[in-house]
Amino acid sequence: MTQTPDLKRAATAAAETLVKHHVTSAPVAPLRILKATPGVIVLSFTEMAEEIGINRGELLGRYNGMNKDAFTVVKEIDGNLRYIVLYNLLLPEFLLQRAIARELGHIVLGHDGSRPEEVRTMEAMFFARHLLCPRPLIRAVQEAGIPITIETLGLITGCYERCLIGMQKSHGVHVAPELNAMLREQFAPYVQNFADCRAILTVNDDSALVNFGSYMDNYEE
Amino acid sequence: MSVGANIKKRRKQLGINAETLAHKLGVSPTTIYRYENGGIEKVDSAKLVQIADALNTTPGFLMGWEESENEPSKQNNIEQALSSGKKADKWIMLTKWFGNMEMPEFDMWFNAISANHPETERNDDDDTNP
Repeated sequence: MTQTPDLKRAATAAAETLVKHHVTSAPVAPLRILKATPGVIVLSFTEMAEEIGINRGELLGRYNGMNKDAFTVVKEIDGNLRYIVLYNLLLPEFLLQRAIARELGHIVLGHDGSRPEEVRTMEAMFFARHLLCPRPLIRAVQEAGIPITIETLGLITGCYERCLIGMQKSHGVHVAPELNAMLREQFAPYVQNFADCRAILTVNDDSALVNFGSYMDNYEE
Repeated sequence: MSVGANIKKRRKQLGINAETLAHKLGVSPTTIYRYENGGIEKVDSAKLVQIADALNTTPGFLMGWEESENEPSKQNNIEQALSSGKKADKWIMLTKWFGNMEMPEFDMWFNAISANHPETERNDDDDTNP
């Protein structure tokens, strides 16, 4: 049982998830994927409070001091891991997107509490970054010769900066080239749309976006 | 032992009176006595969780399912998180918090919500969980 984060497995799992759920455009919708994942019940805090007959404030009050964006509980029942994911519907979209992607990571990676918390947290967050900002999409944008913008990457302000930092930190983590190629092909029609109507793209000089390009220029799969 | 008797036993163990417990729960002392003496026979799950919290124990103990009345301490949780090989035989928190915090209330809640929210069925070719 490894006690260190397996980042390659996390990145690969993110890419496999995008393939399996036929994600062909950005932004990626982690909540849709989570709701389609077997063995998982997904509810907002409000829905959960209504289901169990207490008010939302009471539910949140029980977990005072913990993540207020989303959390996952797990139990093995009849030999299968069962998950309940609760999330805060009132979050700004970019925070919700990140939080849900992180919880999805716990589930896709089969976390069951048997490994240290820091390890599984790092893996789940790594999964989230690779799910929300797939390198093959950035590469496809570059190869199409269109600008890297928030529209083309489908990343919301406040989200892409962290994704880029995450990618830079994990520069040496590689996903199988065949998997990357599949994803590039999957995203190709989406990217082509922008190539056909690049006039709608608002190019700004946000340094984080510019850095995506230079990062990928120096990244070899 | 009934739920009411367990509430009373735990309250006495902690040395707190019914008024103090009532104040913590935002109910009247009479309500506490009614819980303890069976005047209110059915304690709903949400209220049971509140009472367990106020008495620093678990709903499972009050229901008579668990022998230990003490809630696991955060230190124990951290130690548990650092141990390896333990499967999730109880509901535990995965998201970063204080280690593998046990969430016994989800036993009751899971039953309540699973009826209304059937999970996506597993397919034979499903490989979501490696």
